[in-house]
Amino acid sequence: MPRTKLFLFFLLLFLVSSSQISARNNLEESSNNYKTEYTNYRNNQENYLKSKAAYKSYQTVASKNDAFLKTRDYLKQVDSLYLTYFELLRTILESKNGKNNEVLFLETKNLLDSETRFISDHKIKVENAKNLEELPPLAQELKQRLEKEIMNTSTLSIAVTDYLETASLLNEFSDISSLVQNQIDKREDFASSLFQNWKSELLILNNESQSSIETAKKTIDNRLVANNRIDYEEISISLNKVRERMARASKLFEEIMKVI
Amino acid sequence: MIEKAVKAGIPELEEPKSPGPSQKAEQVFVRVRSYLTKGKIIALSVIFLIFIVSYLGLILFSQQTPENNNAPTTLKNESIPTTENNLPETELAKKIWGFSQKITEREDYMKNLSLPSVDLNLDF
Repeated sequence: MPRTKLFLFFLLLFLVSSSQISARNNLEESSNNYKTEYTNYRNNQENYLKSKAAYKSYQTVASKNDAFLKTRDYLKQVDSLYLTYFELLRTILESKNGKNNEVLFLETKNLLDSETRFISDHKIKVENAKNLEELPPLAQELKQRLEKEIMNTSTLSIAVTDYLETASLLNEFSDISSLVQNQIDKREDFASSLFQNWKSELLILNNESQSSIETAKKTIDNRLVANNRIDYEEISISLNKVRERMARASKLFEEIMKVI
Repeated sequence: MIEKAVKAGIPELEEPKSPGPSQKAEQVFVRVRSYLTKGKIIALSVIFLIFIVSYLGLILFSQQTPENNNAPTTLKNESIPTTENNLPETELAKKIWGFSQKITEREDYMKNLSLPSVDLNLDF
């Protein structure tokens, strides 16, 4: 009896420790799952292509059945690949500060959930297929969804993730600016031209960055309202401008810290 | 024994009423040792090890934030005068350092997360 208790205690301890560690490694886990599924996809694709070639050559029932089994496995693997892909997108999105724009954050999460549901249902249909003729229409169904919805949701998720990260950077910039300004205000020479020029430079960077991030947000919002195809390039250009200014601000912070 | 001690010129000793601290410790050790079997000692050692490993693991993971990871040692060891809002100057320096790190370590999302392209033309 005491040994059983001891064993249970160990088990509990192990579970608690491992759950704490795994919570911290969600991102890594999602990324590894995606990589694993991609490798599996490649292997299944190879088997599918071989069985298809064999069926086309021999045209026998056995080769047809083999082609069916390998193609079904391949399609199931395609679905698994996309499921882990969306899981990775969701994990990365959730790792950003969604409070910078909760509406955008939730909207993107809902779209990812919707695509995940579609893929899960599609996978069930593939699993239930009984002959080779059922598979090409199922592949077409997925292809159409990819072209119409999935591709756009994926791009939107990447754009929103990038936007949230950049917005968070901009918030951090404002916080640091205030803190450095407090340090300057304590000095007797706070009104000197050096500090005044530093302040005006930072103000310009802030205004330009706010303008660029607003442009990026408007592009994303327009896509959500009109359900248009999203142009990540356009968003990326605006966000890169913010980052360039933040890089300059970072150098200005370091410079002023040497003086104060 | 006391008489012998007095004869030998050693100051008179009182009859010990209770065991001294070292004797007490010895008694406790003997009692604990008789209670602990080999299996129990191994089990306790394993528990202790698991706690140590979990604790160290947690410390290690909590320190691997962008702000602290590879932080310049000059920032870590500075004295910590405080500002008006009680934020240590070194904390401010760390914030600035963390901020610049985030800018340089930007992930290329489009490159790393673009939609995987698959072959769905099942031309049988």
